[in-house]
Parts: sequence; C-alpha cells; structure tokens
Amino acid sequence: MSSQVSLQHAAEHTAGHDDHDGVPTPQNISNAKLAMWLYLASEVVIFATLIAVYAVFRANSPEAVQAVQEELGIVLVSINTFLLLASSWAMVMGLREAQKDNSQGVVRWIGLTALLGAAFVGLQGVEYTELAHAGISLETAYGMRFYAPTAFHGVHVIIGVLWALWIVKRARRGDFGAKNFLAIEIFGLYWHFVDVVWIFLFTIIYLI
Amino acid sequence: MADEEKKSLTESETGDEVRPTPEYTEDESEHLPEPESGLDEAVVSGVEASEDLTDTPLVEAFDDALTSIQKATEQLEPEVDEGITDFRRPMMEGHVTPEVAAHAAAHAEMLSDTTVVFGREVTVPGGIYTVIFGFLAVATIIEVLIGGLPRGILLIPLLMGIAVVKAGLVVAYYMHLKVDPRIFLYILLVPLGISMLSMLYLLTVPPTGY
Repeated sequence: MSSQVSLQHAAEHTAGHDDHDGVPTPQNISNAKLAMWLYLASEVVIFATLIAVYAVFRANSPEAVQAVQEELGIVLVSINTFLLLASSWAMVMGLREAQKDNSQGVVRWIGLTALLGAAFVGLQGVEYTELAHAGISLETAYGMRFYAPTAFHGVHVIIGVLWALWIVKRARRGDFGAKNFLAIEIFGLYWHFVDVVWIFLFTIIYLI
Repeated sequence: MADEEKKSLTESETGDEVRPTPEYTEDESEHLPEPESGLDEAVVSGVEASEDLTDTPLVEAFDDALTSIQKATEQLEPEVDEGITDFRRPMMEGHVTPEVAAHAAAHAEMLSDTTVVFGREVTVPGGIYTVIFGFLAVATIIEVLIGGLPRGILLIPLLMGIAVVKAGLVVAYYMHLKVDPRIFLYILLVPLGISMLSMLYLLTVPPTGY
C-alpha cells in the first residue's frame, strides 16, 4: 500500500515539477511556495543584520561575551536546541502523514510540533529571567546585542506555534489529504527556517 | 425532436444541405468488390488469405499466450498497477525526462521508511527524516562538547562548519530543496551571500575606526 501511495505522490510531483535542466517553467512553481521563499529571503537579511551586530561585538569584546556564557551555562540552551530540532522533525513527519492521507497523523505530529515550540519559548523565558537576575538587561552593551536576535527569533517561534495550532484545527476538520497538503508544506518552510536560524544563533551566541 | 434530429443530419452549421452517408446493404458490406485489375486481384486474395489465417492454430495459440501474459502481470502487481500507470502516463506523453523521473523517485523515497545511509540500507519509522534528525542531534552533542574545549584558531571555523552542515541538512531534506526547483535555492542564496559578504566587510573595520 505504501508503495502505491509513494508512486501516486511521485506522479503528482512529476506533473507539478517539470524541472528540466534545473530551469523550472512558470506553471511548475506553486505561487504560495514561491511567495514563502521570497518572504524567507527577507528574513535572511533581517537575521543576518542582527547576527552581524552581535558578531562585531563578539570580535571586539571577547571577554565580556565569555563572562556571560559562563554565567548562563550551556545545559539549558542545549535542551532548548534539542527541542527545536525535534519540533522540525515532528513538523516534517506531520507533512508526511498528510501525504499518506492520514489526518490523525497530521494532528498528532503537528500538535507535537506546537508543544515542542511552546516548550522552547517557555525555556527561553526561564533563560531571560536568569539573565535579568545576573544584571544583563537591554541597557547593557551585551544585553541589547543578545536580546535582539534571540527575542526576534522567539517571536517567530510563538507565531509558528499559533500557526501549528491552526493547522491542527484544520487537520481535525479533515482539510488535508494526499492531494491537498500545500498549506502544511508552506507552514513547514516557515518552521524549518526558524529552526535553521536557531542553529546559527546557538552556535554563534552560545558556543563561539 | 425527431424533426430536429433530421435537420441536424441533413444540414451543416452553415445551413448547406449535407448528403447523408449511403448505407450499405448487408450483402455489400460482407463481400469485397469484384476485382477490376491485377492489382485488385492480388489485394483481394491477400485479404482473403489473412482472414483464413486467423482461424489457424498458430494464431490462436499466439492470442492465448498474450492473454495469459496480461493476466499474469495483473495478478503479480495488483496494488501498484494503478500507481505505475499514473506514473508512466506523463512519461508516455513525453513530459518526463530521466531527470524528472529521478526527481519523482526522490520524492517517493521521502515517503518510504527505507533509506540509504552511507551506502547501507536503513529502515526506521519516518525513513530519511528520522535519519536526518539523528544526524542533527548527534551533531549538536558534538558541537556542545567541542564548545567546551579551550579556544583555539580552529574552533570557530569547526563550529561554524558543523552549523552549516546542520542547516544544510534541514534545508535540503526538511525544506525539500534537494528535490524542489532550483529557483528556491537561488532565492535563498542571493540574500544570504550578500549578507555574509557585508558581515565579513563589517568585521574588517577596527573597533576604534580607521
């Protein structure tokens, strides 16, 4: 049965992505996917700017950064990173269930995505509280450069959690199936992008 | 209603009279016309010979063999038959190149629980997606362990390299850039490239200014 589903899915994609020599023709690209990728491109610039500001501070004041890293520790943020990576996996598994025409699977996996995203935001709140107790606020030189990218990212996660819950609601209503999963795919692009941004923020802010 | 049908048979759209096709009598349709030349005679004898041949045991055996093969094929692949037909239809219509077929196969692989990792076939629930999650988790643990090492000249490039690999895996497999049209990759890489160059340029500015 699964091989049949796979081949049907393959046939749909064959019809949808006639990508000869890597040059797609206009009718082969979903407008919604193209729009999401263009939006993500704008997000690249925003986060790159915030990371650039942090990187310059890190290059010029390594001692100040190291002091905060020692104050914060790595355990909490490592758990948070794992949660976000797991949420990305849950997200793509939800899409897979939609492609297999299993609405219950979509509800389960995208619901887990929302749960893991919410846990990430909760742990980020715990981290911010610890930083506040350590005297690191927006008024400090490090604080502004730290809070700007991580808070921007946190808001993206909150929006993603709400979006995931909306997808779950639609899946319970039976809106998705093997031939109707574009809305989940679009949300997936957003969610995975948020995950990719965190992969870099985690490395640059907490490890380097 | 009968008048309307008659009208449609006898008049074309422009209103010109259309002569109905004359009907053959049963005798005329059953029998070939009388040959008028040597060529006609040869054609008629050829047609008659071929009609005689259809009743021979050899042709009947050939027909039976074809029917048996068709039935055997249907019994062997009852589930995938419809899928294969769907998959091949665009190919028969000339829309599928080997590259596109490979693209479709890659999509199909993402729905399978079996995937190939470093040349070895692996079967896990979730297939390639679960394997990628495993890589991401292990890479993160390695990152954290390396991050605790004393700062050296290679530490930053190493950590950034691992981050780039992790991000690349998410983008290629979870965001499907490995199989989706390449235009999406260009949309991502152009602003990323310009941002990276700008960041490197900014890092060359000394803290006290020039």
